Amino acid sequence: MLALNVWLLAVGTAFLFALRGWRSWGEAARLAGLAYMLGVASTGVVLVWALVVGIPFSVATILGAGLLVAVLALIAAYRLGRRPPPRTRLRLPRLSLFAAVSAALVAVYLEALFRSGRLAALTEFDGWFFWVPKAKAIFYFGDLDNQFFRELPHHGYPPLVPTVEAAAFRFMGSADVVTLHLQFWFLFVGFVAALVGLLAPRVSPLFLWPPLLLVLVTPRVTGYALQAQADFLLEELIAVAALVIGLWLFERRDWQLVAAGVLLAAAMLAKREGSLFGACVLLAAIGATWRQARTAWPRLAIVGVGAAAATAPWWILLHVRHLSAEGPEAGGTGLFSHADLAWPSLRLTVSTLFDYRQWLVVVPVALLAIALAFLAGARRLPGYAALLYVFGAAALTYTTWAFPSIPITKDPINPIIRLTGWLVLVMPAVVPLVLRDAWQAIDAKDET
Amino acid sequence: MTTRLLPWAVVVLAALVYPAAVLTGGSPRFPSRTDCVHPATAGRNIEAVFGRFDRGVDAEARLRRVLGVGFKGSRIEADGCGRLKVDVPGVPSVAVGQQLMAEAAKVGIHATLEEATP
Repeated sequence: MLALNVWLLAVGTAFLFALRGWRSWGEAARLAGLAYMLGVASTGVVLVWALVVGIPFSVATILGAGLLVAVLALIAAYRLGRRPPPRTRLRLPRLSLFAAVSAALVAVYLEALFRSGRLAALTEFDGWFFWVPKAKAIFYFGDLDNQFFRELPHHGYPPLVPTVEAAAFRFMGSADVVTLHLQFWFLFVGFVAALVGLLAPRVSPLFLWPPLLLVLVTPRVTGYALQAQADFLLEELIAVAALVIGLWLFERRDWQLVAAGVLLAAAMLAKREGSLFGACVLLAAIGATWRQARTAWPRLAIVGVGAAAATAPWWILLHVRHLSAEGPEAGGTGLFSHADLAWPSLRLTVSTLFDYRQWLVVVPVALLAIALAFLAGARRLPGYAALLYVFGAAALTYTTWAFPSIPITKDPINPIIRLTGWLVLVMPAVVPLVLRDAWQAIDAKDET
Repeated sequence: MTTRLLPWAVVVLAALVYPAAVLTGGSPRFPSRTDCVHPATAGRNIEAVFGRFDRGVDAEARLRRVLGVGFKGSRIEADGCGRLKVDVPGVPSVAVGQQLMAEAAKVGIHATLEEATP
């Protein structure tokens, strides 16, 4: 499994090198988390395509998919004139004592999480009910077996997570559902490293580490981050995409949009809600750039269309096999027939987001930071973050409202607690930028 | 230089201290396949096991053999540790089980008495 994750990191490193290149090897090391997430996303998407067209799933396929991404990336890098950074003596970046203590806490936390995940049983319902059986089917049969996937519950759910799980099984040599939890540990570490690597040079440690530590210690994250199901990977991909788009709002580097597109494509292939939450991120960016609509909106639209297009092979396969895509029971105009569910659904969303026993005070802290930033005179990042939370809450409300057969409850039969996680994981990605924006606005006022 | 290294030393030290502290309580114990073998004890559900196999074809061959020599009710089950076992469930007591083992030995089949786990 370690070899698989090193391979995904190598693929993502080649991909990121093509996207932006590096000024130094230290910068490459700092962005290793983002590279890993891009490796997971790009290789995962290609593997799903391979399964859809019927290429047998094996270690060779996994290596081949990664190699395809890496070779194409390196060719693009060559054509774009990217060059490896010069070989200079590696210098440790300066680290404040506060950042060091915070990083030490995160390191110990992740070690403890590894320890709990190493022998975690597969007890989560959706995990053993259909996510892991799908992965086992890919592992044992080498494809998306027509009969098995037809008869399994939720055959319409996109297959990126079972594909990643099956890749882990292949590299483990058996369908070990206990050790499988460590694959999700690697993904979680990649997510944390991506946030830290992207934000560390851009924001003060005081803005970066406390929000991250707050999210890490929420009961839901400590208890469920390594579950062998799709929710956390979906939310990690969306949160990193939201961060990269947040960076694009003031840096306007094209590589950031390409990276966001790949991450969103993987999120859309991870779970049905990926399309919904991905749309929220893009709509929030569209809202935050309404003054630059002519230049920004077409780019953001291309990201959305590109990411959605990457999921097309999966939907075509469902259509060819005459399988339902398992869309919302009351989508579209059906919502009006169940208008009475709107308010209870919204209330459930809000009460879950503010549920201290699940998420501590993550969402109140995010909203407070956004409000303070607006008061300080900042606009773009707080506007983006505010729209993320507004659209996100609306999307979460929709996930309950559009499924009238699901009771309006926080009990596990309704996935609301799991789904609200995306607005929680987005917090340490976006709030540091919001606070930095606020600080700069205060500084600007002082100077005038 | 020292001021640059010191914060990094804090991070590395913390990252090493936690696993070191855990290891002072002994090296981690990982489950093995023997954890799925529970010797028979009186008063518990007992089964006679005619062997464990990694491959289904091997388990089926052993099942055919034990059925052929008269151990009716034998079956193949997953043992919970990734292997298949050929067993006869519902052995009423350790004494009866020992007679069964002796009969199996007469026809060249090795059997063990184990506690049946759900």
